[in-house]
Amino acid sequence: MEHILEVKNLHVSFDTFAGEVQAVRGVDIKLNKGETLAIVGESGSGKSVTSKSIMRLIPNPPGRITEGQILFQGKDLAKYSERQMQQVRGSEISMIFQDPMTSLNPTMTVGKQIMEGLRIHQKMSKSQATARAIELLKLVGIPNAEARLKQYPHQFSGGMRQRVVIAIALACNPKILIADEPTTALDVTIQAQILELMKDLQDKTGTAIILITHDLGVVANAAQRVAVMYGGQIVETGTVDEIFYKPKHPYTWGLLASMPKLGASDTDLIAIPGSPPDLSDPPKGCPFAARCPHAMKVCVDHMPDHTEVSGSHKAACWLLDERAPKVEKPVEASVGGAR
Amino acid sequence: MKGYITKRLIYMFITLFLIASATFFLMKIMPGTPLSNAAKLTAEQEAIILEKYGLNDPIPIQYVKYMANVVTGDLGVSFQFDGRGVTGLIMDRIGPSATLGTQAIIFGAIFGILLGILSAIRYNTIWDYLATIVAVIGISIPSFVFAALMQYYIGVKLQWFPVAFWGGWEHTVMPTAALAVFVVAVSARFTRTELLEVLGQDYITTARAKGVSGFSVVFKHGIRNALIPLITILGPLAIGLMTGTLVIERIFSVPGLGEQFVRSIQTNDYPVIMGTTLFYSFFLILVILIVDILYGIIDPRIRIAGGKD
Repeated sequence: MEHILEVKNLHVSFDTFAGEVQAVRGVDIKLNKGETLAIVGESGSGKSVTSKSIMRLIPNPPGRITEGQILFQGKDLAKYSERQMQQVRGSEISMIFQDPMTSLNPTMTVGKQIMEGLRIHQKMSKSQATARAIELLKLVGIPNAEARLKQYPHQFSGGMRQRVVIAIALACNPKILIADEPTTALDVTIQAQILELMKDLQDKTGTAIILITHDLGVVANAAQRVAVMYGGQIVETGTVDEIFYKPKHPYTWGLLASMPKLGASDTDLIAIPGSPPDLSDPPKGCPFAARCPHAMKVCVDHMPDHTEVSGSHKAACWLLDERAPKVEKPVEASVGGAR
Repeated sequence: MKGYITKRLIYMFITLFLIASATFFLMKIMPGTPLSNAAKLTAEQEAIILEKYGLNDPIPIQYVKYMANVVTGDLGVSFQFDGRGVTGLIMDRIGPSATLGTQAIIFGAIFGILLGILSAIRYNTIWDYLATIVAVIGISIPSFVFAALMQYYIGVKLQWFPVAFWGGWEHTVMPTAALAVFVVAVSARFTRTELLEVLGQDYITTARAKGVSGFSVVFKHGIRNALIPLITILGPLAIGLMTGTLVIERIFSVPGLGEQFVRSIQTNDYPVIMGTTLFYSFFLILVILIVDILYGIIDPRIRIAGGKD
């Protein structure tokens, strides 16, 4: 399969008063044409920073890409100038943000906001852009598109606004769509609609999607492949089936165990004890070692390599080393606190 | 929208009525008399003069008479300028004040907003610090200091512009500049703060993610959202400037309204006090109305709320 995007050994740091915070520490991502890759992880794991870095939208200062390559169709975006990036943003790679209530300009009509990208990238005339905007609004399922075009964001509900945001992102038929928690701010019924819409549009346009989320339910629904992030690194990657049914990394076990289950007899929520590592002083070894119930001496001092489990499945854990004691998931999924 | 403006105009007249009433009674409490040489007059002479100007009636009667005249558009006759109508006095004096004020607010706001934008987009660089210094100086040093400095260096030493008096446009340059310094400072500070806040909003990231250039992000997406608070303060500030600032008018010997107003208070020239107060109030309320309408034009969310009202 052909990789449309390949991120190699990406490091992103933020300079703060307290010192350098290494938010992303050596991330590798491969994205195939037309697929959906989910990046999951808890808050502060670096998933949003990774996605914004691909768009080069990290504010600089304080943020900067310290190392690594972002190869889009073979060209390294990390070396692009701001002007070159402006031509990529919105036309080749687009982004959807988390909160539709704040991600649209309140003083500009929805139509203008959709048409802006079309006029910049495709040099459309006003009437062409209007026609395309109406088409886009219909595509994302907004009825009465002609009239809606002249309205302002506050006249739309949250779900409808997210549809507008998607319409903006898809306006120029981008090759990659980065969706940063696109459903987090929406209520559950609308979430399902928006995910369905994104799937639908992907079938029609063949756009590859990077879906950033902390909601494993969303992942199961929408993605083909999953990358699990922790402490600024990717700790496990695999297909959805591999991650959900044959996870190898204790952090993934913990994440899966902490998913609330419908019909479970006890009502307690299961959490992974402890908190994520301080990335201004990142641990030498595995970032999860401090919270891992299976941590060994080696985990604290040495970062494990990515071990190939199958052709599509890799995990960075010392437990996969041949010298490690055999620990299997079913028992361990409960270690997080279940009875 | 029409209904909204009509309603606001009705409120405006109620407000004016209340201001006029309050000023009238407060003015009557003021110590002193309009007769500057009262001590030398006989009781008879004084009675004749008081009778002539209607000052013998009980105060409530005077009030009713005055208000009745105001409704017909008659602001009365000045005491100190023998027999001159108050309307005429104000009209003679408003020209210079309005010219200076309008120029100061327009140039001051434009320059201040540009300075604020520079400050915000070059946040925490030498440009930002320079703009901040200019703003702090402008806010903290009184305008008459600038006026005096300009008179000496630009007027006397360099002789670029006349030092004082009222004539052609060249006479307006230095007073305008002295008045504008404060406007520049205030608008620069507000623009900087607001624009920084706006540029941190999600929709700015959305715009950048669309491939909009840095310039367009600031000018198409940023400024409009940052303008609301600035307009709130610029409205009343404009009125203060347009209706005359006493100090600047004194320093540059400009025959303006502010100077006349203060003199009318010193001499208990009741009709001029009343007339000028009403005139000021009228403009202030009018500007507040215009500001509210501008809000609606700038921010569609306010427009809708106002329209339903």
